[in-house]
Amino acid sequence: MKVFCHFCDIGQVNTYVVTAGERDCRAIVIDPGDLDGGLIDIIESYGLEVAALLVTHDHEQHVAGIGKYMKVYPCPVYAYRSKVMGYGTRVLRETMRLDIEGFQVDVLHVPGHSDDSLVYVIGNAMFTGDTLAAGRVSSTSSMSGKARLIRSINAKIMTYDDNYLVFPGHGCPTKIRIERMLNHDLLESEVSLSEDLFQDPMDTFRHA
Amino acid sequence: MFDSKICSYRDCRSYVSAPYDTCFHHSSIEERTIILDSLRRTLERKGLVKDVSIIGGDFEGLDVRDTSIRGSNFSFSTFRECDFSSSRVSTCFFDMCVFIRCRFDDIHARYSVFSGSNMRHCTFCGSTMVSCNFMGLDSTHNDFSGSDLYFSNFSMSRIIDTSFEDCNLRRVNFRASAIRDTSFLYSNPEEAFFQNEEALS
Repeated sequence: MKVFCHFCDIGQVNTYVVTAGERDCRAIVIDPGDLDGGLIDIIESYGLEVAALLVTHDHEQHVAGIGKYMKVYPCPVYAYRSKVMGYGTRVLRETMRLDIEGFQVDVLHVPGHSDDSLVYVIGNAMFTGDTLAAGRVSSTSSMSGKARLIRSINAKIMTYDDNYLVFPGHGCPTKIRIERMLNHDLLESEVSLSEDLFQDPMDTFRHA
Repeated sequence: MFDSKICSYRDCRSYVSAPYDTCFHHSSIEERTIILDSLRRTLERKGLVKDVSIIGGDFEGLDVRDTSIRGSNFSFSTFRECDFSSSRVSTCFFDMCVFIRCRFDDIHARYSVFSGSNMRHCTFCGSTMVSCNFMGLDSTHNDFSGSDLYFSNFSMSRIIDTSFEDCNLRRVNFRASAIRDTSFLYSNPEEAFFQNEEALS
């Protein structure tokens, strides 16, 4: 497997091109934020054939390039939502294992940053979109939402082996080991977040 | 990208050093010699080092100048007086490494990881290190002067007597880092993130 990392100026988002291997020209593109010269250069210089677009979540900076891909490299789009940027998708749900053109892709649904946030695991690489970045978790609309997101990350992502590579939607790559040791939000949550946030608010009255 | 197969040694979760079925640490002495000889031959030709995984290697005086390194993993390795000047490094993992008196001048690195590493007396002058991960770095007496560090992450680090003079620090993350005797002269620290910064007294 090969992973090409590309920084899209628009939205400052990372787009990843994943290929099966040295002699295999099939590729999948994760988070098609744009189709700019740099990406076309990667695809054309390695003679890649774009087999699918994978969307981590339907925020414009991560999907704005779909229209261009449909014109230049038409292929199926996989996402949690049935329509992204007006294009129909192949809908993904919680914890699916897909076979996309020979790629074994594990899909994890980790809502929090958005309802449709997905994490893709291909081989030893994890593409986390805005759910988990180096040293922090994604922004949420409330503190209780953040607590739930952290619990989901701990339950679904941090259970993977220390050596898994993490490629986030923004910023630099990392590893599960590094996040376990140094992720400020995850470490802080262990200390400061009360379990009360996860309880049914009615419990307070029942126990009173 | 380096081979994602797991070492066949009991309870070891590290990646293998291809073409063998064990990681570098659990390889036999003969296998290690072959792997290192192959690496040295590539470096002598100033060629492309790609898809290599050498976990826990020990390198001294390695000449990595003008070389391209791609999709490789050197976690838990030690580099003493190695020269990476003018190299191009892409999607490489140098996490939990030790770097002593190494030169990275004029290096062009992107999407690479140096997290949890211990750096002493290293120079990164005039480098471009975009979207690189230095989280948890233990940095003493290092020089990043004149470097473009756009979108790099130095959070949770211990940075002592290190120069970031005349650097591009746009979107660089220094959150929750302990910083002492460090100069940001002629740089743009106002465009970096320093919240939760803990000053060492």
